Amino acid sequence: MKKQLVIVLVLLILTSSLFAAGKEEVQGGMEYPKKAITMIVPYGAGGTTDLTGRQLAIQLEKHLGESITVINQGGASGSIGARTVLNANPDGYTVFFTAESLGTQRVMGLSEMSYDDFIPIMVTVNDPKVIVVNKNSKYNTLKDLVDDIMNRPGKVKMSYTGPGGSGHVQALIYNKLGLDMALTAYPGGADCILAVLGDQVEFTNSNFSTVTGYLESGDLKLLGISANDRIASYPEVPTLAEILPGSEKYLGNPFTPLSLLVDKDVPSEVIEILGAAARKATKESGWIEYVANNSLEKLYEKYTTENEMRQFFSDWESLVSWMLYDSGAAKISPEKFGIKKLSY
Amino acid sequence: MMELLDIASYFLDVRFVLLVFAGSVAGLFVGSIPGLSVSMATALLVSVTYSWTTTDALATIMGVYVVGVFSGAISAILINIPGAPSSVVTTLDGFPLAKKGEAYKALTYAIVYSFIGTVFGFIVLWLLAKPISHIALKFTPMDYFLLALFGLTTVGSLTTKHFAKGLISASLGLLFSMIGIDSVMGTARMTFGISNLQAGINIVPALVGLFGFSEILTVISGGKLEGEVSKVTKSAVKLTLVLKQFGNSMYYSALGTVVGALPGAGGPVAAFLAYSEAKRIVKNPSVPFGEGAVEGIVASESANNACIGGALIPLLTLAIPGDAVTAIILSVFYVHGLRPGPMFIKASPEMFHAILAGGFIGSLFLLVLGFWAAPRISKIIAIPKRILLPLVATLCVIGAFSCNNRMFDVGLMFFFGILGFFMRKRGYSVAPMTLAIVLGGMMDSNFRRAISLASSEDSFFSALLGRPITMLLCILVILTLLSNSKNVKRVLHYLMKRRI
Amino acid sequence: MKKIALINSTRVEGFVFLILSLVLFIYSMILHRLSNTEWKMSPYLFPLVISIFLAFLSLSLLKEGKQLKKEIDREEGVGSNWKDVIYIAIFTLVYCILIGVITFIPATSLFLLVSFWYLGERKRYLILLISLLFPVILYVLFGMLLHVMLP
Repeated sequence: MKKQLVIVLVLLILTSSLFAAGKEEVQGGMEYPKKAITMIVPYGAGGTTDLTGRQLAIQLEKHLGESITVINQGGASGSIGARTVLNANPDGYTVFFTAESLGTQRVMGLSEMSYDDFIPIMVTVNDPKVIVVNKNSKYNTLKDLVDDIMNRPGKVKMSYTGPGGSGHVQALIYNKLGLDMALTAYPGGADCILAVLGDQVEFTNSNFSTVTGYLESGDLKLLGISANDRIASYPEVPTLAEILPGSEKYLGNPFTPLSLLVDKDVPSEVIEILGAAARKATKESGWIEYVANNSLEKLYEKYTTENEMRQFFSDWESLVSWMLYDSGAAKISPEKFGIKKLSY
Repeated sequence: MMELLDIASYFLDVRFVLLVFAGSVAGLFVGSIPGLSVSMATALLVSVTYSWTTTDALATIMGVYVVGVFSGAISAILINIPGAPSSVVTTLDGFPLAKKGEAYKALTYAIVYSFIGTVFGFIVLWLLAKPISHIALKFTPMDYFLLALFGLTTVGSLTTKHFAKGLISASLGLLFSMIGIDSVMGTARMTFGISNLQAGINIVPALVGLFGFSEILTVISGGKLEGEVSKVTKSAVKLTLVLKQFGNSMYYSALGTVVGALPGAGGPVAAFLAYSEAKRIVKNPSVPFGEGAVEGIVASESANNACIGGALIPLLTLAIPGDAVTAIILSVFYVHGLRPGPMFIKASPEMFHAILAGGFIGSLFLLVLGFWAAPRISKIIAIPKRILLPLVATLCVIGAFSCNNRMFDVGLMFFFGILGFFMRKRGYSVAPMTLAIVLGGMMDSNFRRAISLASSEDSFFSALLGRPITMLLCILVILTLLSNSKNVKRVLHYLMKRRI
Repeated sequence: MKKIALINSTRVEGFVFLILSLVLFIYSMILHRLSNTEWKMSPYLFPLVISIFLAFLSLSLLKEGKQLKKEIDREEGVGSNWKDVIYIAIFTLVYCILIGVITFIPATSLFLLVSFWYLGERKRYLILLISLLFPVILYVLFGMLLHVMLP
């Protein structure tokens, strides 16, 4: 019996050394970070926010000297994950990597949170929005799809990531242009694609990086780009602006700005360290390659200081919030939160 | 052929095998303690292994995954507390067997058939990943909803003699799962202003409370604690006898793999479905089901372990994780710069082979560690109850706490423990409630998605129920409900008589 | 399993569940109105469906209880040990509260000590050994290895 006990103990110690192996401290004189950092991604695994967040986490680890655990907390247009971050201790060990939905939560009545509750570390990239259909779809060009939506208002189905998300904003823009689709909410970008692959919906408006694998394998057809510029890797695919005149003024904005944020109560030293690490991270070859492969728009080169980032968020918030409100999608007036109306 | 050689080469790679072994030991430990879940261990591993090479990380994780899913059965059999939701079904027959002093026999069956299930799942993953992923794509939201509903209705009929009570237990479980922020609209629902409830009811405290704590109370209420020690008969179990179930286990494994490949359904549903099938096809079990039939253990264990291979299919081919563990494995890929998706198996065959090899080696270690540990661990029930029960209570508390690091979950555990105790006393099985809490959120969102998809069609009902899979599932659900209703039974009985 | 005959109690349960389903039905209806959404998107659609389902089930339970009335009334052997159950439940509850106050290891030791003694273990050295060693082992395993932030 004793012998067995010894064996069990040895095994336990072996396992424990396994867990402990990665914990060696690599750090200079700074206080932060002293332990592993948690990055909350408020969407399901495999979507563009998740992929980019993880890529950034890998590069950040190199400069922070501590591991970053990425946790997916999907659902409710990103508000569940955002709530977790704000509930956590504001010590900088919980960081938030999110897409744009934070800017629309208040007017959508989803939560009381907004960009104001956070401090931006970096506005990283914008993932271009594209329109994809199943490989067996009857639509072969963007024009086919647009015409069919025009002819059968409210009948052509589109999957999107939930009220207030970027897919929803896109749908609202299409509405403004006279297109009326039947929307169904899915938990994340990858699930929206699955709905297209499984013929549950006719098309989806996805982020480009989410669909690259399926375009290569031929399971999806890329019909159009929901922006003003074509994508370098698919130069033959037209933009929506070319098919639908009048859409340029809406589609010029970055609709999926992915950003790294922390709770607004996090000490400023920590923010500086994180910011410096993030800037270094974007110089890493792995990151540069990732951005190039996915045709991402480098917003981090455009908005560098905290004030610029805040300005960007407030402009973006104003544009989208008013668009949602004017279309009737948002129930609460942006005015209530002091969001000024800019001309759009 | 080249593929086979490639996979076999991993068996000779000492480093690879050792890492799988290390993972397996961790899996054995983590899986068998109620409240410590495999997903927790893998999540921890991810942060540890980020600096390792991808193959090393995968080797360790596959070890944890394969052995961890099996070892949930150990505590299920020995102390009636399943280590994870997918082992819930194993308690139905495993624990009664252990109470008779035949814990070793129960464990032997669990080990052998977990091994067979795992190997089956991985072979399917290896050879049929593409076609199965196409089947998974055919499932619409309505099908997911119906599949889960089917699981719940079979549970209702399986676990209690009163069908209605089983279903009531399931409905209450569904009700509990509604609590928290709604995943579609993002509004708080049924939280009654308690902010801790916003995150919803985590399955771990519910499971630990419903099975663990309520079991303690039940044993105590039964009295006879003074010096009561369960006997352990350590008679060797004949392997030829064990292997008699092989044919059936293939069927359960196939079922498990397919259910595992459907994202969101996973282990618990597979185990329940396999168990209900076992009840249907095995006409003469060794003892009646629910009283220690090894056939029940075979069904549950082959199905839940076959789920592993199944769950990896949508992960690798569609980048959609089938359960919590595969969601974390997905992040391992991303951390190491790999992109699962339709091109993955073709583009990085070496990773695919490493996963397969890790799975096969892991299942061998399952066999080795299982047989090494089983006779030793089964002595647990020889510990006097008056010592064992308080220790288990402590484990319940710490297990509930550790899933989210908050005391609120310990309170929840306590609540579910008391609830479970009264349910057991009144003949309401706790198993359907557990399954319902696991599945509720997914059922709700898929149901609404299905309604939303269909409501834009011209004919609402044909869009909702028109697809072949949907119709099949619908019929299955209705049949299960009807065949268990007393009135229908009476009518059928009457008709039968008339004909004669 | 012994046959559990539950005359009145089955009917009582049926009533309780019927009332629960009614409350749930009304609750879902009211909150649906307040949430201001279409039914197909409403968070209260599914609770509503559950309430209807539960209502049917409770009716069937009521009916069962009615039929059982003619059978022999027999209570299950529950009552035998209510005292112990209540005591252990209270111990555990106090333990849960104490963890937050006097941290994990002392609270666990105390809980184990008291419960061992209450359940009838009388070997003092054994009680002391387990109740002191076990919490420490747990603390090392969970707190250090698994990074659980035990109080």
